[in-house]
Amino acid sequence: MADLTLSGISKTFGPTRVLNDVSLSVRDGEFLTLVGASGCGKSTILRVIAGLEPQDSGTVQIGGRAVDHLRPKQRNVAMVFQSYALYPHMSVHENMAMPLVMSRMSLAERLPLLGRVMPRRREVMKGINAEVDTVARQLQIDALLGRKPAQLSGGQRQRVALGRAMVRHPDVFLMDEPLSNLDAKLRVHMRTELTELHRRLGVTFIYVTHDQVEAMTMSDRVALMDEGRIVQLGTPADLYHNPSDLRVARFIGSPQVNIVSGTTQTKGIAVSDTVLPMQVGLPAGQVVSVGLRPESLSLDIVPGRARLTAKLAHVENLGAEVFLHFILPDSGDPLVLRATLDAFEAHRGRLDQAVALSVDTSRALVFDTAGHRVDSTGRMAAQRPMVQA
Amino acid sequence: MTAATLSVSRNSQMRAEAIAGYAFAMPALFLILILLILPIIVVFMISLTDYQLGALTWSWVGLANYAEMMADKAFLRSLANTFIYVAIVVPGSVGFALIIAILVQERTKSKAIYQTIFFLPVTTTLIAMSVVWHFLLNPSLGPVTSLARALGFGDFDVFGDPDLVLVGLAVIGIWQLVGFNMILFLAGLTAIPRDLYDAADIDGADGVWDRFARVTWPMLGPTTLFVVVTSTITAFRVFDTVAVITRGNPMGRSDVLLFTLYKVGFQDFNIGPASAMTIAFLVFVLVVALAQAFLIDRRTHY
Repeated sequence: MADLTLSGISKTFGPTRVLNDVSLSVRDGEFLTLVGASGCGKSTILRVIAGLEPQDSGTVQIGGRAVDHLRPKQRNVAMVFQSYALYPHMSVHENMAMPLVMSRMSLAERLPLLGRVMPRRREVMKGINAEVDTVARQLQIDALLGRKPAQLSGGQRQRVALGRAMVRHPDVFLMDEPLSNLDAKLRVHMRTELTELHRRLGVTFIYVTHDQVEAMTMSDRVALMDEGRIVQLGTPADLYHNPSDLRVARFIGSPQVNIVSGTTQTKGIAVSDTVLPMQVGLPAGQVVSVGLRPESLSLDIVPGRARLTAKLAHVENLGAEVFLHFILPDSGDPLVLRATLDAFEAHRGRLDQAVALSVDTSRALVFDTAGHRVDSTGRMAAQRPMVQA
Repeated sequence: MTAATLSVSRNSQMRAEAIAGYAFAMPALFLILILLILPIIVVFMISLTDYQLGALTWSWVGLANYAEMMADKAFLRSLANTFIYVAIVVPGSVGFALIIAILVQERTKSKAIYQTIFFLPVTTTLIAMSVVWHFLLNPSLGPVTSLARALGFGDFDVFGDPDLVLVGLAVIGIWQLVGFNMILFLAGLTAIPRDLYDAADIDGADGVWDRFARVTWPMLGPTTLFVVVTSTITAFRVFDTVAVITRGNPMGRSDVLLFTLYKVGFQDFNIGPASAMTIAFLVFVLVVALAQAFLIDRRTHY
């Protein structure tokens, strides 16, 4: 168990800068997720931490000691790969025993034939087998120990990969999109299981994903990355309700946040046919983007709230809730509204008609043209990513 | 419609489908019969006769050709020579190809150049290259022998020395096969997922030997088996170098199966006994091929 600190990590592959001065500290036992679109550098960070890819500059510290000069096996980290990277020619047992065999047996003892006659081997192997069995029972794969990876389902392979990581009791678990090869149903199930595993082991987890749902549901904190930098680091709620950047607002949340363009006025922001009454510390006449989460719009006319007229274009009924897709008449900006089934019933049959929506401006997010968040005082809120926890 | 008529119509439909299936398979089946099966049957039939090339009459002799073959010292010697040749060429060409493939694989910019260089012998005509090798190793004029002499190894005549001749031929065989095997190994190496090496690094198998023993070698299992089988069959068919360079000399020490077959069939015109040898040759190749099919299913399948 250990905390982990990255300071000023940069990395280039040829002409492309993959990591640009990334600093991050992860608390002992924390579940931290690196999330971002593909190519944002999140997997590279993981590989740098593991020691599979040397950084160009910066330092990695695990448990307070710099590990930059250490080889992957010496860093006491375990990694779970997207492809699971199980050795196909070895049984589940052999796969899981691999890290222990490599660390506890000498080269001579590992040799295929000669190894058998080495005196210490029997005893060491017994210890390894017992530990593998214990972990296998924890993961409920003890019945599969004799099988080869090809004879396992995707979910079972996933567990074996986890088991191989667990047997060595690492300081840090690194997970590179471990759920993306599973089908949707199993993925939801494994989310819960991984969170439970994290709670039980109490070890630092660093989890890489491009799926914002995984990031939101599993993590203590989330670091959203873009173009080799951490754009924002915070709790899932932070990133959702208080994004520092337009990119964060767009990435987190499903359905996506609605972005409508507006112009600042003295008393608020002019959007489409209305003025949203809100304090923005910007001079009048500035072009801004206003982010409205689907739940800050409502079909009920709430007194005192700004009203926006939009054309109902499409309805998605999910059973418990309904997503209504609107189009703003003049700009053509799309708007998605999250409504209850009851609220929607009252508006049934109004497809292609103009509907009045009320806007909860207290939850509106305002961004300047550069995409930075602007709060009521005009400061760009949390413009730099918060590095310290 | 009753159940009975339903099943009748289903039966007739299945029969129609079966007929269509056979009809589609017919052209290929016809070609296989004409080009592969029929010649084998014909050769087998001839091997039961005393037919001589150009002769007007022949008679059945049963298995006499086979009995004679098994008692024939020259044939048995050529069989033994062939096995020795195979026993040198297969490990040599497979081992070197594996080493070269791993070394070439690690190169980034010069990879294509090395691949081409090592593949060149495959593209050449072995007959022509045999002449070149003959010259290179010529005891009086050959550059290789001259070099050996200059370095103080003394005189040697590879193709004249009864103990060296098979080794000399095997070296040419290895030289010719290595490039092809290397390409197969390179394909096998490229197919190994990078993730496995990353996992091995993290698990502690990060030395050269451990990476090879734990990942590369097991992952190359199917490729290796294929390479061994193709190399065995190719080595078994050695003929060109023997026919051009040694013609079985000295003292029959380089007589190999196909060369003996050629001598019996096309110099002595004894087609019957030659056919018997052909069948024997076919059986050996078939055994190797079957062993491959069997082994692929059992050992290297994962």
